Amino acid sequence: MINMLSSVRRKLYIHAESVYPEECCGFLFGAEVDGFRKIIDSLDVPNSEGTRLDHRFLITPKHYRMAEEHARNEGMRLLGFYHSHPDHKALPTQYDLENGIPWFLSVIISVTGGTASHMTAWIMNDSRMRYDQQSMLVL
Amino acid sequence: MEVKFLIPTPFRKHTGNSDTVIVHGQTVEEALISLTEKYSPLYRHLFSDDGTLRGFINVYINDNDIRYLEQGRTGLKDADVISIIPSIAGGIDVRLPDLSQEEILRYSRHVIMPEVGMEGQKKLKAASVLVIGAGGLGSPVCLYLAAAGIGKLGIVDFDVVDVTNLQRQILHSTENIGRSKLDSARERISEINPHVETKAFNTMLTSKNAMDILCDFDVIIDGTDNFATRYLVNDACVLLGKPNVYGSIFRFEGQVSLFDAKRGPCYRCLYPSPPPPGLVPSCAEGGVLGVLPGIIGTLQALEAMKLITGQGESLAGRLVLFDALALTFRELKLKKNPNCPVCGEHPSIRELIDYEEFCGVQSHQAGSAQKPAGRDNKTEITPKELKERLDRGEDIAILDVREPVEHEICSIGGKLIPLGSLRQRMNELDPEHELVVYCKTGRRSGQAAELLRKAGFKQVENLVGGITAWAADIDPKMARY
Repeated sequence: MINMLSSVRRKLYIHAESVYPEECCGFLFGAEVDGFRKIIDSLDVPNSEGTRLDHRFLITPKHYRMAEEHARNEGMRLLGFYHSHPDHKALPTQYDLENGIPWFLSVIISVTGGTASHMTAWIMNDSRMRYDQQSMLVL
Repeated sequence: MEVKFLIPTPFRKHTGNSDTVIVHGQTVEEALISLTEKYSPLYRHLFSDDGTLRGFINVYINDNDIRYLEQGRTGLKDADVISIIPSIAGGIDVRLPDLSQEEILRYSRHVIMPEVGMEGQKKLKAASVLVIGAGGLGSPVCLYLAAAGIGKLGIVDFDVVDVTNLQRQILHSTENIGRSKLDSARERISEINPHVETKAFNTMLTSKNAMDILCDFDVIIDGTDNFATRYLVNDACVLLGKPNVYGSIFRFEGQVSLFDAKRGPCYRCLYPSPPPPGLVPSCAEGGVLGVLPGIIGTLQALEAMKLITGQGESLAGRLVLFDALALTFRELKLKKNPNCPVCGEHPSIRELIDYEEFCGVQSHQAGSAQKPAGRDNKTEITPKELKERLDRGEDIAILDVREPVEHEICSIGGKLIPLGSLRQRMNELDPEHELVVYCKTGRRSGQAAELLRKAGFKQVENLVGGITAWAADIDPKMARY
């Protein structure tokens, strides 16, 4: 079960819409207690994918380190990352699976015609074979 | 050696929630083995089935990426800190263009290799590549990328085919002399592969048009022959986030690399500032072995294809140096400069600048505007005026600052002192005597004239346009090169 503050959802949607038709990306922070995760903050980072920003995103090691540092400085846990799927469903793709990181929460925002419509949350299982959808409640 | 691993958050589940792990090892490889022996579930997240590190796993030793060191073989010291840092990627599975029956047959030698396959060939068809310069490097790049089935090839050039190009620029043929290089290139490309869409930009690449031209292409290939355009291409690629496949050639040596500032160094990280004008001669002045751009350009085409198909080990962070006479390839590791003015952490260049000024060269417009009419400022002389004065029997000393091999091809007389040895041999000249200096085009002699004036020579004039202009205006029978 995932909880997300509505202020975080607002930030994510604004970010996703502002870079449409390109994909946005960033990190999610908060706390985890007994497998229950609560997202209270986010950090947007540049999409460093070279040539295909409309259907790919890449977060570089430099920005990953920034996220770990942000979590440390703010006393939060780095819980996962988010990205948008412009004019596409909020479902993990084969490419998402090939490049996924286990345990990390992956939030996907669907943006249709420039408007963020909905989002879903996923965690890749340890076998690296599939993403399991997580129920998410926006508070 | 006892070293410390910093474990990223998503992997801490496998290290008992610990963010650091102490292990022993002489090399990075040994330390990683030791880590995964200690925490075995980590193995499949760090390594692929073939035992290599997964593509999104980055390993740093004390802030240095091991890709720019000796990778797994990098030696360790006591108390080194090894960070495991994931890159995170993802995205939509886009529909690639279909291949017709004819295309599958045409590209069958690609398609039957699993590393390319149908998907790789479709990626090539979906890709667009911009080649800057349809000359020595651009020729093999265009020919091979067209043959390979790149969907869209853009070419930037404003020149016409000259007979001196044909020794190396295999895109053009004898019958195309005097014709636009772009027309010649388009015709040849469509002969090789009618499936390729070509987009021609008949212009000099400038700070004003570069962003608009480059932005529509996936990969940029630098086939330029001057520093101003090379810095312009680099900066535009960094600002647009485009990969820049770099190549350069001179005489018997060539260089090739991939500058992709999002993942590694850019051209400015390697060469922060250009050499002083005139220090590095152009191919027109210094010569180039015809086959050399064939080798370097082909490597650029290869690198672009690897980038598009996502195969192989990219040249990002590596500079390959080729020596044709020794027949050796050497490789230098390149590091991103955190203080790089364009791709560093605090960039000062956020838009394109004046690259001719940056490289200390006069622009075409400025150059022609400043050209004196006759000898008004006594620093230059036209071939016509020199001929008239010599015919009148005026006492003018003439100095050729080209190389002896050039002097052998053609000469208008006078003493030969190559520019490189002028400083040492200046005492062979009379500083009180009027002196006209010439080279092939007027560039080297311009520097020589400046050097002589600074050394106290009373009256030194540079022959405008060099012996090339002399041959055109005064002596059409003279051998040209």
